Amino acid sequence: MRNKIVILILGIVLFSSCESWVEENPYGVYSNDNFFESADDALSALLYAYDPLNYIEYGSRFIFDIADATTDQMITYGKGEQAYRIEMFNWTFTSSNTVISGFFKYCYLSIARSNSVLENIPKIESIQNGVRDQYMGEAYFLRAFNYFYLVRTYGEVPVRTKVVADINDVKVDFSSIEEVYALIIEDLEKAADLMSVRKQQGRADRVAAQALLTKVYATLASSKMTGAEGYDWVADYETMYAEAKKYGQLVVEGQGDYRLDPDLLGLYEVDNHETSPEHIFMLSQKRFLSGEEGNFSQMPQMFVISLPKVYVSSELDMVGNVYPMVNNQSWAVFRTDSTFYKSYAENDKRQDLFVSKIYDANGSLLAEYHPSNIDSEDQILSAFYYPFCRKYSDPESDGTKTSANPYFIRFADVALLYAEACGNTEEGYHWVNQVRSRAGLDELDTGLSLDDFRKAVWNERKYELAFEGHRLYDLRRTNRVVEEITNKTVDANYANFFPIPQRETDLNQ
Amino acid sequence: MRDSLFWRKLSKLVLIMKFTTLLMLLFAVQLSANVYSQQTRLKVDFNQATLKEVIEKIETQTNLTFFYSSDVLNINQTVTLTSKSMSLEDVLLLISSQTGLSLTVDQDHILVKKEEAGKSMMVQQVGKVSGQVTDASGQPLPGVTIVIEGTTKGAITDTEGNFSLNDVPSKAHLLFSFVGMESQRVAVSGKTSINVVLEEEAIGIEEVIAVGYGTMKKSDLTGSVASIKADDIKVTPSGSVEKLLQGKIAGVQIINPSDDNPQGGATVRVRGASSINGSKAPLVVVDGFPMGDAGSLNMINPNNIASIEVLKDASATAIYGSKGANGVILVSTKRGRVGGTNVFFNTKTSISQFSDELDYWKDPVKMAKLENEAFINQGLEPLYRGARNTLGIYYPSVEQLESGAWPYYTDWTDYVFRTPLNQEYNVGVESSNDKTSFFLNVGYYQGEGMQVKDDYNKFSADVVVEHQLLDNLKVQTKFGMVSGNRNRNGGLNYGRNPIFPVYTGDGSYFKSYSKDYGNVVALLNERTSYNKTKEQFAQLKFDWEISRKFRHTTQLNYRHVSYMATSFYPIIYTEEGDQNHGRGTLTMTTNDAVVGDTYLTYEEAIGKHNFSVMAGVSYENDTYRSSFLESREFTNDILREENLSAGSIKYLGNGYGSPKLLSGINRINYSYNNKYLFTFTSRLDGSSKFGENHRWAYFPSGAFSWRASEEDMIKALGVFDNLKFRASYGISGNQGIPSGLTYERFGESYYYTDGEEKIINGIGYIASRGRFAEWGGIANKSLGWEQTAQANLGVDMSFFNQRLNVVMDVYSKKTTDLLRKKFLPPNTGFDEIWINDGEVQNKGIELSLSGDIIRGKDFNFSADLIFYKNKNKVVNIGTKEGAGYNVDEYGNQYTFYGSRRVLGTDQVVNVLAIGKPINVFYGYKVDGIIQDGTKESELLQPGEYNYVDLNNDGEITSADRTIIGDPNPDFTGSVNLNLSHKSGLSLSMMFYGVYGNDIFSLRKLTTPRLVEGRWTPTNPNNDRPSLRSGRQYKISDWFVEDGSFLRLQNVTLGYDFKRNFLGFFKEAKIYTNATNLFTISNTSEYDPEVGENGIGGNPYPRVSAFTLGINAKF
Repeated sequence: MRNKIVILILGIVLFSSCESWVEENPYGVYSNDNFFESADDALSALLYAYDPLNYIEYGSRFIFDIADATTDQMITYGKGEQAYRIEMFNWTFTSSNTVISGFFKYCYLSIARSNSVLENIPKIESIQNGVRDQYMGEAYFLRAFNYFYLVRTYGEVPVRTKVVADINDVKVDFSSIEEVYALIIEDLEKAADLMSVRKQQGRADRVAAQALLTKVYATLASSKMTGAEGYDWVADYETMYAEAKKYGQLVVEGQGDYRLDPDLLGLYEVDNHETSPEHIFMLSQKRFLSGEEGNFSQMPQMFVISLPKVYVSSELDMVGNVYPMVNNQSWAVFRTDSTFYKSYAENDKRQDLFVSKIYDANGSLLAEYHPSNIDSEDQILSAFYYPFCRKYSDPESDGTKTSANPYFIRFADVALLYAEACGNTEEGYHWVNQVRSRAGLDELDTGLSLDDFRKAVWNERKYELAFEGHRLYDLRRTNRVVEEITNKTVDANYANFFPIPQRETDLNQ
Repeated sequence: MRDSLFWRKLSKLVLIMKFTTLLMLLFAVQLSANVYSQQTRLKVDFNQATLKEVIEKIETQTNLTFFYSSDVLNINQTVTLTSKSMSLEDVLLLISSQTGLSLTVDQDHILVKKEEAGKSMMVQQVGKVSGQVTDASGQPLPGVTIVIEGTTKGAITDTEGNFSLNDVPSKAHLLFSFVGMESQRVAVSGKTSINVVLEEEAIGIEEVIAVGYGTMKKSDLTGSVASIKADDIKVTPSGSVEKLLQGKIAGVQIINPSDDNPQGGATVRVRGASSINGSKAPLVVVDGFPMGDAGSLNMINPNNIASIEVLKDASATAIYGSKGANGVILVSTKRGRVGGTNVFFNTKTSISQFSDELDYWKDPVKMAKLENEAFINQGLEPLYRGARNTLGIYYPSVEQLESGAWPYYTDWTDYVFRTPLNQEYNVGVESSNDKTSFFLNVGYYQGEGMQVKDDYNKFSADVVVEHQLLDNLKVQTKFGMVSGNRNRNGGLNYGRNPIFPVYTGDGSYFKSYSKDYGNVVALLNERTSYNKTKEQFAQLKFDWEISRKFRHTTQLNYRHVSYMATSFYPIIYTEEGDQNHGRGTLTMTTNDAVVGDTYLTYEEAIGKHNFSVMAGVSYENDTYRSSFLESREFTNDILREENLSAGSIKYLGNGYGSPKLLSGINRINYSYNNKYLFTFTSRLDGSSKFGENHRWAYFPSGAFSWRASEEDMIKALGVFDNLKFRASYGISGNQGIPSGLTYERFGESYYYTDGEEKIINGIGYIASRGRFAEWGGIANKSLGWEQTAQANLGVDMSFFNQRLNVVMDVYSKKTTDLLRKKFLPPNTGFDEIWINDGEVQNKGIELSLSGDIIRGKDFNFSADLIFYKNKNKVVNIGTKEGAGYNVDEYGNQYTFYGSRRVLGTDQVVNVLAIGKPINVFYGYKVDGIIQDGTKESELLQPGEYNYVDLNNDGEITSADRTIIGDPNPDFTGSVNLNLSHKSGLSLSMMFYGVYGNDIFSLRKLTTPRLVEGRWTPTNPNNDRPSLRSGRQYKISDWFVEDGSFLRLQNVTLGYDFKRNFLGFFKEAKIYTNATNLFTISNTSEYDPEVGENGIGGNPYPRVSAFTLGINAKF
């Protein structure tokens, strides 16, 4: 009897509520179960969706490997670098290239996080409607922003508008370019509706959505017009230019917060990133932030020649006081093609955004750039074989940490697209000449044909937006990749779209 | 949300209360229990059984011992008894009536004697009897129980082994009994002084060994279990237990690549590696308490170990279910076993030295000349030319060095190494009487590494108390603490360039240029890194004999571990410190582990059928909490790690986990006629580590054994003393992965907006950091166990009166559902998810031979030989797409494995290749050295490696790589020799060898002695390339060497002082021990024993330790 009682009790212990004995509840970990309950949670998750853009696989490095290193504006000079980067410089990359796969992945990281925000914010009850709209709008903007990069870089890509919840959701079909653009436009229209105008570094507002719509329609228009691969489906380019003009006008004339910054050098200085009216959408990495690279940036080191501390003139004309580009050794990764440098018009101030003279700390001239320096015995001269870009610098950098940021969308970019959309009209001339006069150039010849006018605008973009992650996309949408990139042999297979990363092809099944 | 949490907590509380109530109830029932012979009921079924059989059966059912003298008792007379339930008293009466014997129950004994005519015969004479009891060696035995036969009167010997009894009938017999000794019956016959020598109980196949949740006679074993006694291992100095097991057990491979870690630690594998991403280490269970993976068991004091059992086959390990797949090591510690009171003192002192000469540049001129040659061959200016190089380091010219004009020559080994002293002390008391025993030990270990300031010391205290609370209830408690302190100062480069001085003129440490962080003296004095571990544990165990058939055991264990580690990298002399302007860290972790087991054992014997059944439940919970602080950017180095708030950049982190395991356990043994033995073992496990869809798993196993030597036919052969065949099959599991992989997990980052830095969270977190992070955080609710199915065939044989014992096993293990990461397509926004996929196989043979070669009066000589062969094979690593593996032109399907990058490049040496063993090497093949080339390119110059163009495409590309080596040995073996002489002298030796493994030797390239054999135009050869400073080395078979070796691992010479010689001591032994006296091998490494991945490069030779030890008892 006694034994039976014991067995009975053992049985009860063993079989009653066993599950709760072996459950481990998440502790100290956020998940969908305990997040998305307040406006603060919503903002946190929204900023987390912006965050991938900060990483080196996206805005802080790979965007330049994709859109600048591949073009006529940069060249390797045969100096050692990471193998994957040399492949980008020389168009020898394959579908397993780190840049090709890394950029793809980070776009989708941001998309997944945007989707998470879009799925969850509507469920939060304790959030004011205005705030909810703004956050939803930013998430739509971000999703479109990423798909716009993806479709221009890779062409047909998988479209995901929901978070993957299970291993069985992994397989997804690739969408046509038309379908991707449909989603982009739909998202951006929602974003422009939902958001208000509020300039804030690190976040998008209504103007950013309108600016991106301008870029999207200008891309569709010019691609169709020039017969660029993949855009046959676009109905007709004039309609697209009309749409670009509509949104471009809203940006350049329909608001009062953004305009061309009259200070050409100043707009690139880190202290002005937050305040310059030029910047419509850029990130906000800061040297003093916690965490790893991605919270601060190391972008100046990527452009500046490989010396411990490089002093440059504080003026565009290379005289006057000096300051250091960055307070540590640089790595000379993104190297200017000197042919491109020399192609600037003689009095184009924007040429001086490339440094040709460096100084010591006292302001005495230390060295002058020359292509033949590459063979010099002198340690300093041998490093100074290309004029380096000064759009990314931080004289107050904290060791390797800087506040330099990529300029995703700035006013001049949209102004030139607007001019392109307007064509050889007064409006068109006005905006292209605004940009030219800031650079110290004469006004564009009047009486250009529509075709020549647009070509002139494209040429203006080449010099205005150099090393800001636009060049390859501009060449692709105007069907000029092979024609313009002559300093290297372009792989014609990938001229208009890069290969889908091998990892995606292998694993998407 | 909050409400549901509250309810979860409440329901948990209720459950805990349930469990507590159960335990209290059990305890209460135990108290009320009273077992007397009248109440004890037996199941008897004897038909013309011999008295011997009956006695044995009653003994097994009751735990009473029969006392009889074989000269008065004919144990072959037969009796017949049949009843399903009969009181013991009635059974004894029935036997008595059939045999004419008198059987009386004493406390623990049944006394059997001839029923004499005058049963109530008057005792004519009574008198006092005294005497002394000793063991075979003449040592007195305290605590021996002496009983006057037929009465309850008796005595216990004192500490000197003396006893005295009054009123002893002159014709009575005295019964002497003592645990571990054969009992004796002595006739008084009117004597007043009786001295008795008790012999040790014969061990061997009657040995009782631990099998997990119970013990078993070795003769009844059906599974593969190896057992080792503590005496065999404890003379070698070591901070840790597992090192001592090397070469002692067939089927257990101990890889101990660096002998210089004063904290101990080694890689332990039982029957091969049967996992890829999960744990490969066996489970270690100490006194029934699962402690975790082997490999870091320095918290057990080796001095306190009584025995170690290794469970190898599925029949043995299935009782540990989801933790058993890698084998189980059961450690039993000492308890107070000896009667009376003993005080013991054991000490060991060792000094160590390298077993081989250090090879570094002792001649700076030769070094400089060779370095210059390397620079010139690269087309550069020579390095040693009396000028600064591009980094700004000044190198003198060869002439300056030759003429003696260069003032500095620093032998860095003088600063880095020392002659370390290791000391170990154990002092304790053990005592017992018939009710209570205790064991108390205080131990101190002081270990020094070869490097200065590389130290470990630990203090431990253990107390074990056993008490017979009631006749049928035994309580045992064990508690203790360990405190370990490690001062870590590893990795100092004694090969630093000898032309650099230690100090500059002003007394600061010399740096050759601003980023020189290699001044070892600066690192020694300025860098801080130490950790402290404190552990407390308590164990409470109840053994309750509910009846003669039912036994109930409950064991509760608790362990608390706290760990603290701190470091500081100063501003100027360390790279980390310079980059971050000082960096300090502090890590604190605490673990609280609770394990409760409760189980019932039921035994039954019906005629020739014997059953025993064990069933119970077990619950484990290990909660850990951790915190981490880091500061950077310090104003100066003064406060170091002492005040981390002095740094201006701060990081902090904390962690928490609480994995749980709830299990049902059971084991059924059945034997027929002692010849045919069956065992069925199973465990039902529920683990919180796995997804809710796969939380529960069942691990069954079965075994059959045939004791052929019990068959008349075999007996008639007269060859075997024991012949037993064993066969088993079963399934066990592996859950050795981190918890928290089955639920969704958000990540964390920072974002600056609106003038402030915000902490942000969202889906996806960084699963592995690095240059390019991998993103995880997606839940797999179906994650489950790795399953290992294992078949085992074995035979146990003993010959020549048990002088030769042979145990042989063959096994085959198949592990499926490997826990590993599956890679996800990037479009998901995640990189990886943990899944079950893949298969690994291990097959092997184990053989151990032990022979008493000479068993003489004066001299004994015995030898043990162990042979172990394991063949590992990766059968399947998932789909090509899922695992992301590569396929090369030679049919190898492989994926890089492990993270070991070598030769200053990003190349990984080891791969997992389908159809090949784990860890094979992957790289290029080299066919000698190019003697005269076309000189078209750098790589085709004479003196370069002649890489083989495997695919004949005219180029050396990554497609020319293939599998070039296998670090897994063909077999390992060891020989233990023991000699002893009656004078007390003994000598033992152990040889350990590994055969047929490959080593990827990094020292082949860098060892100065070998560098001199380089290729030059005047010394062309096919062995070594020329020196060239800019050469990029590829992973090639040039680096692969045969790793076979034979080592004289251990020699011990001991002397046992007999009591007569040293009256005060009960025991006194002195011994000396030497380790690693010589090694025969053909590698370029200092020592051929490298890690499991086969990659060499250990910067110094194995350490050889010389020990003097004393064991004393008084």
